[in-house]
Amino acid sequence: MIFSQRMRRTAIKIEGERSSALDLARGRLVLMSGFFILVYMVFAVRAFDLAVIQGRAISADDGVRIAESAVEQAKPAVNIRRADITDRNGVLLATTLKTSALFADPYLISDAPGTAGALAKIFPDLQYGEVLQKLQSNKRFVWLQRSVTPDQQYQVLQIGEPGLEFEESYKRFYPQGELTAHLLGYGNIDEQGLAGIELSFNKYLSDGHDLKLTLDVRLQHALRRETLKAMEEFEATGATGAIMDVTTGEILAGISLPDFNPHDPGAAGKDAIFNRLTLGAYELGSVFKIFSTAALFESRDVPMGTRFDASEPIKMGRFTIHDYHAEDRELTIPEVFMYSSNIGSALMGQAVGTEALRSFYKDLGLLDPLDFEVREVARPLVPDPWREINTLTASYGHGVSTTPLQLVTAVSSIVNGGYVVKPSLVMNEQTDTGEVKENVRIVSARTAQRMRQLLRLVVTDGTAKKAEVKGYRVGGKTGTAEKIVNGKYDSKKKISSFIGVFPMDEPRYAVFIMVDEPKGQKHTWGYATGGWVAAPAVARVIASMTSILGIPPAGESAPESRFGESLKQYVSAKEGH
Amino acid sequence: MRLLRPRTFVIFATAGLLGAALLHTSQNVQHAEERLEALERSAQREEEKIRMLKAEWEALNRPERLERLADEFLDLVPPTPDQMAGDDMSLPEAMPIAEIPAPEDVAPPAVLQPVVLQVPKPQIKPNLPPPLREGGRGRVSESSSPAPTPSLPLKGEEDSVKAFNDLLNELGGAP
Repeated sequence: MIFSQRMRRTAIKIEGERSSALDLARGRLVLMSGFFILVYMVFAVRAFDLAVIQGRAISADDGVRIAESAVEQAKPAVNIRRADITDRNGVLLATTLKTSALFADPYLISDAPGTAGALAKIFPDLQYGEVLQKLQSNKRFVWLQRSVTPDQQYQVLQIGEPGLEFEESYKRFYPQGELTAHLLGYGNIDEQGLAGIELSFNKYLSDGHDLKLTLDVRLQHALRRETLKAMEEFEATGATGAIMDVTTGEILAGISLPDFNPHDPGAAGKDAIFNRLTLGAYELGSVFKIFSTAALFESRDVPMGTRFDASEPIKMGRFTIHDYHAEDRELTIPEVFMYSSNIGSALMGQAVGTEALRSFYKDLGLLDPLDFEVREVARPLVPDPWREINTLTASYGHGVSTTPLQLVTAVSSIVNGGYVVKPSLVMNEQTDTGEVKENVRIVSARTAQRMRQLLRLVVTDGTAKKAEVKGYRVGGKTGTAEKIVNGKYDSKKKISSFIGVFPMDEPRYAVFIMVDEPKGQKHTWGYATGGWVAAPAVARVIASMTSILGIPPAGESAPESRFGESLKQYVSAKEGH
Repeated sequence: MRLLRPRTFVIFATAGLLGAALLHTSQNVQHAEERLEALERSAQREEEKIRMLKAEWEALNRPERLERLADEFLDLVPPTPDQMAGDDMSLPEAMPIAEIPAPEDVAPPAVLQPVVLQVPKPQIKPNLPPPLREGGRGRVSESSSPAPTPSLPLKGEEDSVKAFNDLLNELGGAP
């Protein structure tokens, strides 16, 4: 007993001595095994979760989803999508689409014939044999199909072939094709604008802001169709045209021919890329008589009946100024204007004076590069120094080269009642009211009214009878200028143009068409002047515009139909024209 | 043996329960996230499709193309200025809108069946001039008009079957 008691005591003592060490060891053991048990339990639970909770059979759709997320991850982080551009009615002019390109790694293709068959079924333009050949080649990379639609991509992913992969990219798409190519511009493969609005608003569009233009694709089409017709009819080398709201300066349509496919500007020639409307500087000829005549009314308040002696050509130095259709008599202002007498206009310019005429042209913005939302604008060619002879020639539009858009803008500024407008291409909803923004006056209301009457007279009785559209009081001015070839005027190469404005009693729209190097045709008796080439085209555009915009005509008895007839008293009756 | 004191047991049990609950919740979240991602992706895909269709629509509606097609297929020409009536007040009162029979549904009958069966029959009958031929088949009898025109519509039908199936799958996939 004692022994055993002693023993126990000893044991207890031993225990007591080493108990802390033993406890520690046991504690660690428990901890370790507890930890392992826990880990195994986590594994078990996770395995249970994977096998049972998430254990739905992986369907084909899931496979596609997994593959899709792989595609998603493979593409680089794309910044904001380049924004859309629309016309004034919201018709899409430019948009950015996501396109995928399909390629294959033949090394990873397990079932080449099956895959080829499936692909041939999805893409009608892929040939089975061709695809099979590609899939069995020894390369690690073969292109199969560019621009795959989302639907097709889905179907390809459903094949479940790991060797088929996609490369995604954004692509600029212009649904209207060449219709708005010049003003809208185009971009490069990196989504950077290279021309037109795409260039000048590059940052804005890249930041994802949509842009609304003042263009109207319906008018744009009507203008393009008729200009193209005139260009083809007269075998011209090029043409340009614009429609402007004279009250606001908004450009409703603007074209340059020949044009190009904005999806592939590289394939177009230099001539097609060139924007004649803003980048071409031309001596536009008699249309400038609008400005010299307005300048005359502004600087000297002369009556309409004032006569200018157009019987003799003007000789100044080595220059001689002739008339195309010499009247050989004294002409009143309306006669000078409607018969487009160069001599008469030169005399008017002389009466205005060099300094006054020049500053008037400058105020109209004809002598400086246009301040415009598209960067491709030409610098007008202005004589320097400006001598008196330059004043005379500038009166009828020679010796000064401007862009067609500048001309349209300047004419708009005069006919709208005399307020300066700036051409605009980006829509500002606030100003689109159809009312003239009355800020800077360029000519008096009286001068504006006289110019409207003169312009109407040109269409009713003058050089632009073919521009008449019944009921719409069209007014305008023709222009036929000779081109300078090797420093000399070439009488064979002409620039024929017409600027039409309607309705003349309260102008709203200006329509301009210019044809480059038209050739006289049999049915025009060899004429290729503005009145034969451009005026009928403008009339056709106006006729289309009226139905597109829903503008009602004035009846024959309506007072506005007789607008401008008071000027006829200054026109002497003559034998034919 | 202190480890197995009741209090310890309770603590372990609670921890275990909480662990299980946490796991369950995290699993739910994971599921929800996956679903969300899938939905977002499909929404994105739809959006992309819409963009593409819009662009296609605009391309097909180019004035130049419409004009060409109108020339080719319609006996219509643009109005001339003298055909323009002064203002819309001078126009006669609008004619009553004629009842136009509902167009044939794009979705094929096979897929529509289960949906259509829920439509009470009496409502359909009076709207359809031709008598129903197959009693239980609801709208199927709408196609009693001439047989569908050949190849082109068939393709569209196939697409819409797929689109509709996708929709069904998505709806059915919801827990």
